[in-house]
Amino acid sequence: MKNIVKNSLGSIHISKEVIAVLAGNAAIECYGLVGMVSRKVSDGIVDLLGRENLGKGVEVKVTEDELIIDLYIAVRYGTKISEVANNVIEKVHYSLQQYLGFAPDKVNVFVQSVRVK
Amino acid sequence: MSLEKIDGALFKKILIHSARVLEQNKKVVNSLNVYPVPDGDTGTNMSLTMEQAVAEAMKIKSDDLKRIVDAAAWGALMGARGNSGVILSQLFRGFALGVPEGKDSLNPKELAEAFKKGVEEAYKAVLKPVEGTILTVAREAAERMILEAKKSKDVVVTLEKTIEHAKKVLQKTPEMLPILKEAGVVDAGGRGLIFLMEGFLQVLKNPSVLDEYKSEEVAAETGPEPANINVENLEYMYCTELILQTENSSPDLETLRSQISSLGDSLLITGMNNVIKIHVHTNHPGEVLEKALKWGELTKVKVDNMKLQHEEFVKNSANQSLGHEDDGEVKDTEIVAVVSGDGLKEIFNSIGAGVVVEGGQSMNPSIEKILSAVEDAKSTSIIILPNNKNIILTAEQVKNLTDKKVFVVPSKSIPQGISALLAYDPALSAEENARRMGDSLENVITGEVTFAARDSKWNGTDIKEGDVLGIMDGEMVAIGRDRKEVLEELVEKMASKKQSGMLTFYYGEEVTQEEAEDVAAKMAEKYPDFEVEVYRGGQSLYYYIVSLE
Repeated sequence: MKNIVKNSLGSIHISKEVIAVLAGNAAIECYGLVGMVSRKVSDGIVDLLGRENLGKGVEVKVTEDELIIDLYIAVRYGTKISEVANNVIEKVHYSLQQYLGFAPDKVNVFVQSVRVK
Repeated sequence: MSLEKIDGALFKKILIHSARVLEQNKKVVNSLNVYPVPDGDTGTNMSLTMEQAVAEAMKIKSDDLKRIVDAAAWGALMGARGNSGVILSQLFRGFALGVPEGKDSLNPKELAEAFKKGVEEAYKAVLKPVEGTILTVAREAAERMILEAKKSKDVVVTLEKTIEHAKKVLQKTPEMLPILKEAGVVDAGGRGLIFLMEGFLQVLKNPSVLDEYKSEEVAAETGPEPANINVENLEYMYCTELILQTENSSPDLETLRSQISSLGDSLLITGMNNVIKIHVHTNHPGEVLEKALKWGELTKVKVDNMKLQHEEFVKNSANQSLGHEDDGEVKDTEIVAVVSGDGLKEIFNSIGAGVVVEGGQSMNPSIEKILSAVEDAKSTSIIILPNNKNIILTAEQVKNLTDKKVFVVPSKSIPQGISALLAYDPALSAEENARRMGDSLENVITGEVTFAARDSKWNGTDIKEGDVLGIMDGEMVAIGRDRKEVLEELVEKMASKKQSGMLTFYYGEEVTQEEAEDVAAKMAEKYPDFEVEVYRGGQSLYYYIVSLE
């Protein structure tokens, strides 16, 4: 699997949840992004419980040879959305490479909402 | 002379000139860029954003201030590039919102309020504002401007004080954002913003500053095309750039300039407080560095050979003018092989391995070493032949560290590597080749004759240090004191697996040519069904590497 780093002595497994938190945190530092939008029912429950969910709005897909990050975001009205999304992709790609030692194969951004106020 | 108001005509000049000041200094800003992604493009991005703002503003033929400001904000929004560009566009947007409809001029107080509105708007567009960035610098500057505008009616004084404060804040950005401190830089976006404000101020002080560079532009346009530069006449060969952190907080740039100017031309020294950037074309980069060292610590050094750069440039433009000869499927693949021994290296090179990385048993190359070979290769698709089972994983890791398409053919030995290389077909894609080469690994039997490095046990047999070992496909099959005997035993085991084929010997650095040829002649006699060849491998540790296919 793509989230397993092997060396001659053993292997390191990094869970999807960890990757989601890292990606989410990197994304929210990006300018123009004003929120993460949840698509999962479980995130909704966590919201109801009032707990902070750092991986919210992030879906991590791992296959044998690919690591794909999907980010569901809200942007500010009046920003250049394509550029904000680009910045998010770059930032998340870079941060994951830094933290994990391997970069995701794809970072997809889904702009789910635009906030006017 | 005090200036109390800024009107539309003046604001246009301000836009043009501040964009130009930023343009001229974008390299300085680029060199500071480490956050959020250290790709060194903040200055370029901000400058391109400004360019669009200016272009839109220039479309307004009248001197209607509100319309000009709105147009600039629109231009910045459409032209926003990169993180800092988007932030800049939001500052503009808020600024435009802060200029009331029908307004034809701004006094210091109104200017400050519009700026503050810009900052407020800019902060609304971020979920988690990171302090120590352009946002911090903008916010602090706007707050100070409000304060100063209460004290003075003169825009020049207000702005001077504001810039002064903004520079102090910029100096503090490394304290707020650790990543800046680590890199020893101030925030790039913040620096860019200050360049813009400085351009703003220069116009207020001297509105005719714009006329001055009209003539420069003409000169630049009629200047020589880069492709026409005569390389032979290149007086200075190395473009040397460095960033210097001085101990003295206000170094005398003029003295530094005079020290370095004798070493070359195109000298550019820019500095801010204790960070100085030097750019010079010289034949003695070392001397430049030495001179700079006397002033403080070097944080970044870059030396480019301009002659090579130029050749590259000419080559690229030639390629472009020829059109894309080799477009379509990328067939341009290079093979990186890990090999030890000069003879084997030559063999690998001669049968198609573009790059050979030194390494093998007991001297595995680092990831960096393979990675740099991959990065240095000219093609975008790379096939790696590790040629040792301990290096396969290292090679696999390289895949994740480069943008190039990398395939690892898991060759566990030199014979497997050679067999894979022979299966390579340049007409096929890298992916297809990698598969073919992988399949070919099974076709070859590898034999190795080496010695025991220490006492040990194997399958109940005692092995003493210095014993000669015969290994077939990773399994030990022969042991003895004499390498010729062991080799014979090993080959016998190998030969029993195949009816016929090609038997190749690569002899190591400790074996003489006579001995190897003697052995080969014997083998040719003993196994008439096999074709025998012998090559000098020059490898260490292994007396013989034998391939049977």
